Amino acid sequence: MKRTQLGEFEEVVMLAVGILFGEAYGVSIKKEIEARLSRSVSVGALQTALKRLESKGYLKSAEGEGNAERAGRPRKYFTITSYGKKALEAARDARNAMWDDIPPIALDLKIQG
Amino acid sequence: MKGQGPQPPRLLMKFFLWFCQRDLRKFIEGDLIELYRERVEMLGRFKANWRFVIDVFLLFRPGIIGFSKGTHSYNPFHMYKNHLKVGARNLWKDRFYTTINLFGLSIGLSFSFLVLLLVNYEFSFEDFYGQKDHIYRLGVHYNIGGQEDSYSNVPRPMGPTLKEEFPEIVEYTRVSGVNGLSTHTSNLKYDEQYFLSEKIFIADSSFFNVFDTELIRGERNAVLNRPSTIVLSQSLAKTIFGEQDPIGQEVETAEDGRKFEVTGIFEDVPGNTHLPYEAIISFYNYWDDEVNRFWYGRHVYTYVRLQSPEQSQGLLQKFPGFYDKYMAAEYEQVNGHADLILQPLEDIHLKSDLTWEANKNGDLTGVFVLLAIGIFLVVIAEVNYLNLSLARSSLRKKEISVRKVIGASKSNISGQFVMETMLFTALAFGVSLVVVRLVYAEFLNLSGVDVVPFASKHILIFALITFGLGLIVSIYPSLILSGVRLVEGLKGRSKNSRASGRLQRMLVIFQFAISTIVILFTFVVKNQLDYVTNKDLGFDKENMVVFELEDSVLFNRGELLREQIKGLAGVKATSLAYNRPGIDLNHLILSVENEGEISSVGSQFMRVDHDFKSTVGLEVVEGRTFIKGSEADADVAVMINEAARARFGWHDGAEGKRLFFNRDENGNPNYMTTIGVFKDFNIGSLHASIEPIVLFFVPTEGDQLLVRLSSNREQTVIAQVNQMLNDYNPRIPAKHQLLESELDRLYQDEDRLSKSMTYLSALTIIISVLGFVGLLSFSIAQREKEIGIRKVLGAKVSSVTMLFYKDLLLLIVIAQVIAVPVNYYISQQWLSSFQYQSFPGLVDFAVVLMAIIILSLGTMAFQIVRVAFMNPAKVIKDD
Repeated sequence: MKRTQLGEFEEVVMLAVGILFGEAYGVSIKKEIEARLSRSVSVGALQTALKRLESKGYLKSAEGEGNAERAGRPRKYFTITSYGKKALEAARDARNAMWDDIPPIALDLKIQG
Repeated sequence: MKGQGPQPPRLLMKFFLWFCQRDLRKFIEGDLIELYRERVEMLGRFKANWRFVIDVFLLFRPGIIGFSKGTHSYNPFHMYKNHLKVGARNLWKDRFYTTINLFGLSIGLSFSFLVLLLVNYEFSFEDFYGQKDHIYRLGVHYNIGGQEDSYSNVPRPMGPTLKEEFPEIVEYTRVSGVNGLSTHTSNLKYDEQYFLSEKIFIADSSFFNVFDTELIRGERNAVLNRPSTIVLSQSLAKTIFGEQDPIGQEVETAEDGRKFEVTGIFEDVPGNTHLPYEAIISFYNYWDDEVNRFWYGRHVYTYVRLQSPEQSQGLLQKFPGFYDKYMAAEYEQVNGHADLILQPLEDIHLKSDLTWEANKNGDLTGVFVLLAIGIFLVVIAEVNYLNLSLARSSLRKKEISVRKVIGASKSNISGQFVMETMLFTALAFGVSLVVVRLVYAEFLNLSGVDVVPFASKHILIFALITFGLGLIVSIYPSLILSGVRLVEGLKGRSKNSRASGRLQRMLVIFQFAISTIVILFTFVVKNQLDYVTNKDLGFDKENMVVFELEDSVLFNRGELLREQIKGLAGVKATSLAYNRPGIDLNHLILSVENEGEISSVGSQFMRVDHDFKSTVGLEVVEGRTFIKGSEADADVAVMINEAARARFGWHDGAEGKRLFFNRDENGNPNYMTTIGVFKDFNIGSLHASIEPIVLFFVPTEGDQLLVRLSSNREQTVIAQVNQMLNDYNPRIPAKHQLLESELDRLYQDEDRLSKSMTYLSALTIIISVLGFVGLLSFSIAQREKEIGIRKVLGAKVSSVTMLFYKDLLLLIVIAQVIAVPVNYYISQQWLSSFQYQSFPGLVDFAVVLMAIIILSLGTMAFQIVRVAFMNPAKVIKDD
């Protein structure tokens, strides 16, 4: 089985998909990330990440309806698969474990200064 | 579907849609539109556009780009393998047609390849010079007393003076053959051995600045800047000196015993130049300085290098001023005028045919004719292929339908047929390479060219063209076949579609028209060649040998030799002269007296002895000829030809009329009196008309010894005379020529063209007929049942035969109707270079046309007759 490795941006994208639950498509994900992390996200970067996550099986997609706003083009809605959920959890756990192992003194930057 | 609202820049969106993967396309497009509209509202159009550009630009990345990737990938290798296999099987199954096709196509390909190589060579002249477009040759067009002529060479002061006057001329060089302007053959003597070279010239020290031939030894600017120096080509130096160092050695010209010091060695000059040279002698002090100041006569070839090629036009425009300043005074005295001619170096070989060319130049029309035939050969062969595959396409309908049922797409089936054609083309290409290899030497021999460059580059281009043509030819049949309607195909209704049938007929007409044109044109060329070689020139050119007495030992004994040879058995007459038919004549300006008035008239002149008339066999139409030993005749008598009599305006008879061309020391004209008029005779090629000629009497001198033989003793007498001449131990052995073959050589271009055309026209008709045979045998196979039924119903053999012939005849006749006027036009163009033309009569043409019909129909007869005689039961019983 492949290692469940998530990149930073991929993780952010998956989290956004999770937050938007059922309403996650290109533009909404982009806005979610931009709003929460106050960084700009290019369509290209986002779509590449989504495509990669989907091909890894972390996300699945369904074609939605089109509307006038999009000149009739359909939306592609993403949801997290259970495998994706596992990957997210694994990422969080690994990170938490690392957080836990940092000696408190190491973060007390004032003494060092 | 388009919603209202602002649209992102269309072009950019198109670009995105073009590179984006298909499955992502519509979603991302939607996202982009949605974002764009939001941004237009929030930020305005300009910023939204800008952001859109950035978005699209950032989308252009590996994860998104995916041009034609479909939804699934597949491995087409097995499909191609199957196509190849089926293709090969089909070629094998129809061996008869395949052979016909293959034979036609590969023969067509190989000969057109050879012809195109030759054409390429003809167009490659002077290519090896750097900046060849900067180099021009000066020529001059004279009109002197109504006598017009264009010279390929100019007065000697012209080059230097032009350079002084016009800064556009960077450099000039004057060039002359070593033994007279256009005679560049000489024997070089070194260490008591003679080395003959036909490419020795005398040139200014600037020669190597105009022509950038690489110098292996010696300095470009220094090699010829002293008198009596010579520069040799690498290979000539090697022949003369072997392993010795040539620099500083002395060679001697055998004719006049002048000595020259070798100062340099240059790289061998390739054969594709109008001026090939092996040795260059320094111009410096070669002649008296006085000669170099003549503004009329003693011409030399002069080449100039311009700053830039465009300046040639300006130079021509400025020339009248130059003429007024330097030349007008002298020319007005003789009622003459001169115009400058500037010939680009690269045009000389194919386009220049002026008086006194250094070498015989190529023939542009001939090259174009060859080029056209080269193209025709391929086209006809390809048309064959196209035609047969169209005809046979109906047989493949079942196979195609089955493929379609299994799921083949249209493009799939087109691909299959393109591949089959490619397979076939590859086969033909291979065969044609073998053919080229086999006939290469023979072809060069025929074309009269020593080396035709034949490099891998040419093969590559040839391959590209071949396969390109194959691709083109495969398109139409593959489109027709891929468009087969499934049900019809499966049911086996295999009627040829009417459109492709019409196309086939048109193609057949096209083929036959082309081959008919080629054949008729060959016929015209042959006819003209026959005409010019057999035309009465005004004298008898057969049984005449000319010995050239170049060597001074022989020259000094000319008179004695003439009398000795006259005594030989088999010799009818001999004559000693400076001029004769077969060599260009020089011009002279005469002051002609007519009804008390003197006018300047240009004329050619000859210097001959008293036996010239009887030896050459000329007719005197008025007065008398020169009398042997008459000093009065030598001093003050001239003879003229009829053309001169007309030009001089002596309509009431020329005898006793006077003319002069120089004056004595007191300034009184040296009058000469006309004693007789020759009937017009052609001195050279029939490309030119007969010009006025004045003949002077030189009783005992001349370098041309003309001998008239009785027909059966030719070889013996030549041997005897040669023996006699060699007894004097000349340093340069006397050359002899048969006048007839020398005159015939004037038409060597035409001869070559006619020979190669004979072969090529045979090829075109063979290939066309082959294609026709294939087509016919196929249509017979399709109509066998019909014929069977007709026979059962009582049709005679003759009516069945007519059934097929009627069709064929119509096609051939239409082709001929098209071909005749086209050929007429082409022939007129070609013939226009001759002053004396002969166009084949209508009857001759009709015979040729009939011959084509009979040949074509005859070749097909065996197939038709077989059908006509067949037993109907055999074919009908199948159903």
